[in-house]
Amino acid sequence: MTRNSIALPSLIGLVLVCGSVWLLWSLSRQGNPAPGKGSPITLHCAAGLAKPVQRIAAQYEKETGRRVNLQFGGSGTLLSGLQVSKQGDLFLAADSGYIKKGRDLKLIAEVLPVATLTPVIAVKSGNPKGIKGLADFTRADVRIALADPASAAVGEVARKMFEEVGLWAEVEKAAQTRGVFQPTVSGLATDVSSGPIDAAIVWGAVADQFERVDSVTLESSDRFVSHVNIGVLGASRVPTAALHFARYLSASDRGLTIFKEEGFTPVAGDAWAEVPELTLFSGGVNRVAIEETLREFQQREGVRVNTVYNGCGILVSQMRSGANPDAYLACDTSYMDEVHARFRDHQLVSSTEMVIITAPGNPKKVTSLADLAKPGMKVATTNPEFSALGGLTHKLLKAVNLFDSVIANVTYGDAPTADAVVTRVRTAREDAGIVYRANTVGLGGDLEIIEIESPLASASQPVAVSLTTTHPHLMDRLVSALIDERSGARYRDAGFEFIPGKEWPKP
Amino acid sequence: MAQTLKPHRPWPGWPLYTALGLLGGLYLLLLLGLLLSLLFADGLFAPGEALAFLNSPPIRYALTLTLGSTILTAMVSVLFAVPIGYLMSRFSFPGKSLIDALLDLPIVLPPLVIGLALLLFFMTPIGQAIESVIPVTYAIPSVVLAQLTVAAAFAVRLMRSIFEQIDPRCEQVALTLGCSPGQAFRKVVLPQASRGIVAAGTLAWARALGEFGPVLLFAGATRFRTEVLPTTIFLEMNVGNIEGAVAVSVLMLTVAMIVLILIRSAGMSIREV
Repeated sequence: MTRNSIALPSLIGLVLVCGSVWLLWSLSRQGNPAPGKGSPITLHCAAGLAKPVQRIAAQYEKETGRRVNLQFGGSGTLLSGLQVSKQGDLFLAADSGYIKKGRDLKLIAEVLPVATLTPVIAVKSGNPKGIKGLADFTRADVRIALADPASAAVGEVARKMFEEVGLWAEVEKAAQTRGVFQPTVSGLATDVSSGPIDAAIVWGAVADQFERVDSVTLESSDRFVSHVNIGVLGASRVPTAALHFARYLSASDRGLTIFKEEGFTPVAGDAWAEVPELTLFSGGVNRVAIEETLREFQQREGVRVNTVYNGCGILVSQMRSGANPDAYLACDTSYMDEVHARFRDHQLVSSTEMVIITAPGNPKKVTSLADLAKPGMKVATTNPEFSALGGLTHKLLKAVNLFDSVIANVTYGDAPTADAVVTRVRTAREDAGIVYRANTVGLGGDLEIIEIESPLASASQPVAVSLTTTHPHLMDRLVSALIDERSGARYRDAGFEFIPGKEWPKP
Repeated sequence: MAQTLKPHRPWPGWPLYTALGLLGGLYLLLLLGLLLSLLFADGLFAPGEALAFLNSPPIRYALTLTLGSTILTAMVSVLFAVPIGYLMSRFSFPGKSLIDALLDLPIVLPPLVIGLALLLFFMTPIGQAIESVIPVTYAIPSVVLAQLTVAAAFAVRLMRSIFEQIDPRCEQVALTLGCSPGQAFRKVVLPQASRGIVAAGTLAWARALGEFGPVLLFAGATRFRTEVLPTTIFLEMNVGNIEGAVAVSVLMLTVAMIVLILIRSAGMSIREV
């Protein structure tokens, strides 16, 4: 036994180790993007959607130079993995149920709709067994496959469909005795395509991807449509890059075109823009409450929101003369009612009371609305033409029969916004003025605030998205950001009541 | 080594050997049938299209990653298997049966459990500390680690039985003749075990090549990142590209056959050990 007898094998081993390490190292370099092209993002994608998503990711990389790593698996499997690993940036699930679960688990932040899936019966090419409907699943000569309702969305849908026609128990038994249960929709389609299975309920778009598979349309399918959504993961370290791709994938003139080509039914998506520019009309009263939220929203989404703050009377007349904001956050519901036909999904965000403010020290000893009608008072109000506050003030005064006597004391009635009223009263040029409580936050102790005892002395701020915006989903996310609890804290700090979701009578 | 049987005429054992042959032949027939069905079933395998598919960038990446990771896994497995196998075969110590059971764990456990455990380990503070230095989960190191955890156990078990078959007397003689323990190990034990080491490496490599469950859970199925050939088959099946899945299966079959024939022609085989 010479020394050489182990020297040569050791050398070979060393070469193999070095060679394979070098190979893996160069592969890992290949996986990283060239510097300066932004961070690569990881999309956890339902395997059934792999085909369109691979094309979209390739097109995206070509168009923007940004890289998307795709991670495929069953929606449920991916979600479990995300729960453990808390890694990645986006999650594209085959059914909204998984997105909802992800939201409940606080794994998912924003959600963008992508497409819908319709169930069909997958049969072998030419439909040799002549399968026409759900009833054929109980035939003794038909071998069927079902997706496990617990793990696959299509399985849950199939169960509901069979339950509706009272066949579920029979069909479940048929699958157990002469068929098969599969955990994914792809498994079902594979069984029909290359296995012994004659019929299975699958998504129409998935059936189209498989060769040697025909689909039979179901009469009841409209009521069992599933929604494909992409969710931005809370764990993402690059949410802006993730949202950029999510917007691309769900853009009507980008990703959704490819979804359509691959046989899916895309939603009406937003238009694609590298950096979308949006216009928000907002009543001046909201400014302090929403500024920080808007700044965060723009930064996270990588979009630009041009916010026009003004008296709502002015905003309404601008809209009447052709201005077309993407969303509108009104000062009061009455100023939404005037233009409601241009907007959809109106909802309340906040409300604030109207109060009387007095000059420092309250020299005229004002204690109620009636005191404003006393002779010698100097009162400041906002202009009812321009400002919601002005309009509401007039309405309130008329309701309590003080209109003429108080208006007679108004020495400054042209303020376009409440801030001007505050300034006048603070500098004691007027003795009192009517503003929102939200206008008085942070003004210090020298101003006295007197509450007005009337149900009419309140303004509620609704928000709505334009019917004609090219970015309806992005605007929906803006609305979501406004009615989010973080925004709520800012509203409360600014003296508002935060009342998202509260109902109000619409015209 | 079993002696070749020289049958006498009349061959007295023929009913037994025929029965055994028939029984074994059934399994061979099954293997052959599987091979043929991959190649010919339903016109799924067309060499031209298969080659074009295998030459596409994602598949080339998966093939390179598969080769690199499995070879590294095999080498590192041997590196672990030789010392463990040697120590376990030569020494008795308290708690040995416990370690023995631990070493067999990756063989007995479903591979998916290994993948899940790896995933969970890298969520612990220790795992996170490692991740902060070198990203493991869902990256290339996780592929090697997932393969290694399972494959090394097989190599260890094989190496141990190899060392157990080597008579310790040779070593003892070498020691009495003036060798240091290191020299005895290097000059006497290792050369005797050389075929076994190659066999253990080959076994580990074959295990690594087929590893899927733990890779899927721990490394994910990311194209151009952690996609190995078994992952490719899974991904292609998922989008209904059965032809692609068959092409990759045939590729894996070919690679496996080439390696096994090479090893065999070098005069070594797992059987001989």
